[in-house]
Amino acid sequence: MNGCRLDRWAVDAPLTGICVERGGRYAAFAGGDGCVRVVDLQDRELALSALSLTSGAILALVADSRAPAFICGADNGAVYRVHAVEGSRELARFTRPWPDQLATHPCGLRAVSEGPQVRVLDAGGQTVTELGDHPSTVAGLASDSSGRRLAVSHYNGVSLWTLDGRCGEPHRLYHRGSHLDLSWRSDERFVVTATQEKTIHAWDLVSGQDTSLGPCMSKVKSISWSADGSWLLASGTDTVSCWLFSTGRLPPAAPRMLGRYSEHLVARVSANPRHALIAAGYNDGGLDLVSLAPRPQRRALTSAPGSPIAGLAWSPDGNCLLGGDSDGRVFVCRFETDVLARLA
Amino acid sequence: MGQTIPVTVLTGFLGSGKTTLLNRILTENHGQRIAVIENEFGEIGVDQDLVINADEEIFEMNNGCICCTVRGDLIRILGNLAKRRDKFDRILVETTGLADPGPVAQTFFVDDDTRDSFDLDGVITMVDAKHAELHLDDSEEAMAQIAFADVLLINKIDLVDGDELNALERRLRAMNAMARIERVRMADAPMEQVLDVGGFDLRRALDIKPGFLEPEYPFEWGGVLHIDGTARFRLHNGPDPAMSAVLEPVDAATPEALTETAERVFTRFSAPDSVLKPGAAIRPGETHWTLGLTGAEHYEYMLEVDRPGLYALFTEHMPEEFDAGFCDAAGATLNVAVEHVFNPEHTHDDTVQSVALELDGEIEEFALSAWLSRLLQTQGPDIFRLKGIVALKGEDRRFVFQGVHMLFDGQPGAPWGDQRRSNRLVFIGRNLDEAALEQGLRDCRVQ
Repeated sequence: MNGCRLDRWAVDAPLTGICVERGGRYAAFAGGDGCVRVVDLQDRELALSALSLTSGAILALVADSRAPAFICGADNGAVYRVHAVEGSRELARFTRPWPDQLATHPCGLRAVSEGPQVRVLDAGGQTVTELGDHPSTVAGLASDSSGRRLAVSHYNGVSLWTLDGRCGEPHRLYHRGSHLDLSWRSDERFVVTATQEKTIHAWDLVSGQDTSLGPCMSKVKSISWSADGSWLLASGTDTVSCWLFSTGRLPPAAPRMLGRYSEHLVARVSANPRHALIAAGYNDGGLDLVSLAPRPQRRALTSAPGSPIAGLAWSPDGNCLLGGDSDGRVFVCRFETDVLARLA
Repeated sequence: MGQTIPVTVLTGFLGSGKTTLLNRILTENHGQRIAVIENEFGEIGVDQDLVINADEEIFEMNNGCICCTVRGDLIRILGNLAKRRDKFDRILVETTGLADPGPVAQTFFVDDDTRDSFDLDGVITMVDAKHAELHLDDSEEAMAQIAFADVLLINKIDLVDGDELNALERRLRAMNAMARIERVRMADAPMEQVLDVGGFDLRRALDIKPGFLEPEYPFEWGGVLHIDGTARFRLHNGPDPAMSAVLEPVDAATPEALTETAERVFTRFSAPDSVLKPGAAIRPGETHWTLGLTGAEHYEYMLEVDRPGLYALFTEHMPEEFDAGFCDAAGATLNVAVEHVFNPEHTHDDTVQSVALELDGEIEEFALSAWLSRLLQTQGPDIFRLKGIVALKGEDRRFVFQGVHMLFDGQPGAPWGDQRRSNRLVFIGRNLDEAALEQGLRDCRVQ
């Protein structure tokens, strides 16, 4: 595709996490080899610098509440804080397997799962608050936009904790079955989960309604909201499923199906934070940019064959897309000004 | 995507020796890197291995399948293990003593991510030779563990005698005709018996050979006596007003000789009988005798032989049920030199049993699929495992399939080539109606 610069690396370890820190300057890739690889997006010649944290796998990576840093959980039970410049340190270590769900907020929130508990950690890694017991091991964690509430997904639904210092009871959103990945719409009206049953479940916190979407063709590995919050996007089908959530009523109409159509399902989706655009990664390693315009356009960024895309993330300014596959081929794609706006 | 990693499931009641076996596998020098997922904290594992303690989380699936439960913790842990570059060669899952292996097995049928990276290699069930009968009498989970097994390891065989062991094995065999049964002492099973079993691997399913039961004997007891012309067989009232018996010369006072003789007289019990009244003589020969045991408090029958020597007496019931004993002509007690209890457990009406079907001819694919889907829909909760190899009409290759409760999985297998095309199915389940199953399969045959 014209108007962008694509840098690629082969790191020889499955990609297990990907994100840009809150300052927007540094990106990090977590790997199944126990390394976190950091890259300075402002460098003209991008260079990955690898920090080896454990001999096992890094299981999850998110931006830390303070820039420029990340936190990650590994299968040795440790939670690490990785500073983009100053290196890493172990923040906490848990006994139950494993700290694979993490959520942070710029207000200072750092939440980590440990079995059916959620621990809220301070900057030193000490547990400030313990939230639990949830009905099962925590399978998803997400803070709302304000950082006041934490949503926790588990068997039979979601628990919404208000983080006001008092240890009250959570607000329970009940729906039978195992709820996995979790996402808030930025206006805090909807909470959605991907489920073991290959569906998406959505709760409207204003009306109190809830609905199931799908089932998709496989388990939904990623859910994302369009920049303006009007579309809920999901992987798990042979095209990107896009449900319109702007009508304010549940259930939404039948989804729009966007992107390439083939036997290889969509593995990951990530909405651009500025423009009405989605990045879609497929199980054959293919990667598309798709506009959400009434007459959608599609641009292939990379083509097959390859391994399933295992992660996609945009920088906060929306000008940079990062991704990687399950075999450890990772990339950074930097777009020239206006290219994305024109495509959207 | 790389190769899939085999997963072995270890089940068995508390104290059956699961942990001992686990330790043996981990410490044996097999060069494999193993991750163990277990539920109780254990002090095991060598440097290169990983021991993960997790709580069993049983999740119901909302897919309209009434018995479909999966192990949520397993999906998550295996999913995380699949992320490692430094992969393990094998995963062992140890269940708690009271666990039903169903959810573990179903996880591998239902969860695509698990299937993509892992293969369920087999369910190994440890059976405590001493306490198994007790567990089987009062525990549904113990039955399920037997029913699901690909390998049944009868452990601690040094703590019971041969007859008890045979009885237990017969009982296990009747429940699960598919499993390989091995006898071990201190969980000392060779690794090749428990690893790479291929129990769920349809590609390896070339033939189905259910373990046929050793014949059921028409007598419960056999004993060797030295008879010097005449002996007396004294009995009291028992559970039956009559009892069949056969007398036969035997070569030696050994268990082997007794068992051999048992095979020889086996058919004689179905020959026409000669009814005896108390005081009459039981003689060796082609007849089987029916002893009248009614109308009095005690009875005496004579054992008469022409040549003094060793003779085996086989009786329909256990002598102690009739408070029976032997003495010589002079009235001195005669000891039984060797005795054996034949098929002593036929009173067990275990609800779990195996049904094996074999049928020649070709099968109509549509009919088969309709029959199986109806069967699994209605009886799925009662069917622990199902395996089949059938010859579909117009197909050069075998069609192989398996089921776990309501879940089903099938694919074309090896070509038939010159081999005789036939259809074999084995069901392991509760309340199985053999006649109905047989008719069901028959109805799928090409007319």
